[in-house]
Amino acid sequence: MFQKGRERSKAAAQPIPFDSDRPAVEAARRDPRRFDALYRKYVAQVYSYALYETRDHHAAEDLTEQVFLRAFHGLSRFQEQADGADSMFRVWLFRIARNALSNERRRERRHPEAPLELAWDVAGPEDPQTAVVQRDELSRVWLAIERLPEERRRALVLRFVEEMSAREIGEVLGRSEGAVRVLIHRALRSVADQLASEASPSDVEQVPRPRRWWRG
Amino acid sequence: MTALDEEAFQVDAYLDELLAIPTAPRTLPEPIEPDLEAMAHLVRRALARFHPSFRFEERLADRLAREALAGAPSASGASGASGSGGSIESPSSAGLPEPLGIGSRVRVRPGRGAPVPATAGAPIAALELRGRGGLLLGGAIASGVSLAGAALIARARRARAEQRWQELS
Repeated sequence: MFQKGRERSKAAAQPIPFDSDRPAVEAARRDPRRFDALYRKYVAQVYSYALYETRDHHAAEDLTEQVFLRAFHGLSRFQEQADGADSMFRVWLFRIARNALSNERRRERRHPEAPLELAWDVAGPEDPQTAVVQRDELSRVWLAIERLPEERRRALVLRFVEEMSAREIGEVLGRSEGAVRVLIHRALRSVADQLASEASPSDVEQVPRPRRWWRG
Repeated sequence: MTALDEEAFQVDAYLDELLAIPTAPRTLPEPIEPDLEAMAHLVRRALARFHPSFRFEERLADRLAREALAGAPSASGASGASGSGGSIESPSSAGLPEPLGIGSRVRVRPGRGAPVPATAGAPIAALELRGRGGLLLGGAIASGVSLAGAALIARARRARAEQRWQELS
């Protein structure tokens, strides 16, 4: 709103995305009970983000609860002080989540004991053999993603799971849009390279065995 | 723009198309490397969105509703900041950037802070696979309750919550 010179021209070059949540945010500010709409809209997204970060259902629930309580109590300040892309409710919410997570990690020094289990049933092909192959393929991808540097993995999760744009991810992570694009590009390349290095001729012919941490 | 930036830009445009972000410009992206394209599709399948248990979702909704009724948020931030019970550290102390900072403390009422384990009472933690022709069922599956049944339960709970709202207000 009070940008000067270069900042203003930069902002003019990049259109500020319309925050589709603005009416809901304003409604929630007028009547706190209306916060429920925002909560329902984003609870799965925040929970997913928390789960990918903590790899623990209980910790993810705990973090989700903290995030929404903080957002609820801080809603008035959000609109008064933020502007431009920062004013997007979803970005703000994920920044709260990111900071809550950092705080939690600092406090508890919690480290994952095992990768997030992929023992979920995939409703898909009827053929069990095909299903096993697909599961194994996904488990390899998961393992490769697990090995990524934290920032790349986080960017990938925000891009694919939360379906955020590079710009939004940049706002959440405190990086430029271009840097986020490069992060994601490198992440995809790393995952592809890892899978390629794991592949062997026998993998092509045989049905791969589930990994040890695979509960299936 | 370096070659890497350019390639990253192309990949990003391709992902916009793949993930169909509505705010992204709807132009046909440049073709990207086949292995990266295949990887993008694979990662998209691998990274599903999770949904918390219905019990957790409703419990937190209920808590937020109670906070709202208590008139917690105000123009100056949260009121009733330091009541009984513990408190969650405020985002500002958690390193929230100043423009988004929230200087208040959030009240946690005794006995209501502990999250309900997803496996305890919620039969399903469903994972969304948006538009991918499938639905993953979460690791907390404890019974054969169908998604449709669970959705009906959630709907009934919401209806009850709305009714409670009307009674309380």
